[in-house]
Amino acid sequence: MSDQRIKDGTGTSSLARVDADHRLWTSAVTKDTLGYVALSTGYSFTWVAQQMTLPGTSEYMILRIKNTDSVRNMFMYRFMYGWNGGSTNHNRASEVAMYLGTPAPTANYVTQTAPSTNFGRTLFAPAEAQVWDSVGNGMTVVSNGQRALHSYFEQGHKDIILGGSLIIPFGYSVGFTVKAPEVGMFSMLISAWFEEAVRQ
Amino acid sequence: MKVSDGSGSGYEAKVDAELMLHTRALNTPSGLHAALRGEAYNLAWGQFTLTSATQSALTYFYWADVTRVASVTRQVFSFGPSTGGTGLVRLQMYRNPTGGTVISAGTAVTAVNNNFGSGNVPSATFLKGAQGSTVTGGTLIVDIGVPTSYFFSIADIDWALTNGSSYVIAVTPPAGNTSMLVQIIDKFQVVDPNQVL
Repeated sequence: MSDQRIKDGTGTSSLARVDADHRLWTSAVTKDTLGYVALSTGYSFTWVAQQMTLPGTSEYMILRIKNTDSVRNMFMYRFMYGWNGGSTNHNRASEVAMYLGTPAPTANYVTQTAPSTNFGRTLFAPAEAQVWDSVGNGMTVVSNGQRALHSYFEQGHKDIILGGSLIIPFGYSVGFTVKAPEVGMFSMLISAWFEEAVRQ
Repeated sequence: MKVSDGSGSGYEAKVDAELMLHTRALNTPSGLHAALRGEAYNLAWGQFTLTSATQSALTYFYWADVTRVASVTRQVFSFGPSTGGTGLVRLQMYRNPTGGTVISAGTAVTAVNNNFGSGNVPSATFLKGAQGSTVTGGTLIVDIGVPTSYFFSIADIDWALTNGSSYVIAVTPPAGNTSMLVQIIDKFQVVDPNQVL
């Protein structure tokens, strides 16, 4: 086959450059996957545990999400957490843990249907999600699951970008717990996109 | 087929043992690319004074472009100290709300083009509420608590608003509040889906 030069398709006479390192020069506009998914399929969602008050100083299961899409993986993009530092002293750290394989709760929950972040789509997350209904001592679960992450958060707000590095396949679930040395208020937000494994 | 240098040097592009074509790329973030095209905007909603501990719907963003999409990329919030309030500020955002006084009686706000040499204006409606403005309908898409005296910037939001889509930002100061300042800025780009997808 003969050598080929890549020519501009807009009608100019420009030809693509190949340098002494044998690299073809390209120019790309980059957009993150979250934005691409929101624009294209719309499979981008958020779940929220709205402002809640801890019932005591134990560990409480607050939010659970299970991927029910048999084709797409769930890519967790961000974790937001707000904590008032405890309603008495306002300077106490709280603990948040994430568990894998959290079973469905049996009491003290409401189901949550997450809408697409593409506001033009009537699309909801292919997931089974429950959030604590502020009754009793967190959602009732037979076990939390396998602890995967655990961190302390001081008074304030944290926005942790996971960037899709945490992948939850079909049938797997994650659960989030909160614990603090004194009663206080907190809130939580999870953002994720769903994408077919074939594209990765 | 081999890819040759267009300048006539004779260099040819390399394909390595992992069958990858070697390239040298100039990467431009989509935000800068949109600004260069005059399609990136800032919405400075100004300062709100909230004098109660109940919810006030403060901003309404309605997208009216029939072919292109608004990609909301960043939101910036500044919550001042609260007089009399203790606890968290509740920040809520509603996807495609249907009513409320922030929509029926809001004050128009103009988005500023981030390319200062561009005369482009977005096809949209931006309305500003005030203390006590309301919102009805829609789906809650963000509901978080943040402290007072707090600067809060959310990057990489990547909401996509097609023609007729909208959202409202509402703020509830902490219990006991009698005065708290709030400032809000939204950043968004106009995206032609055909250029991205």
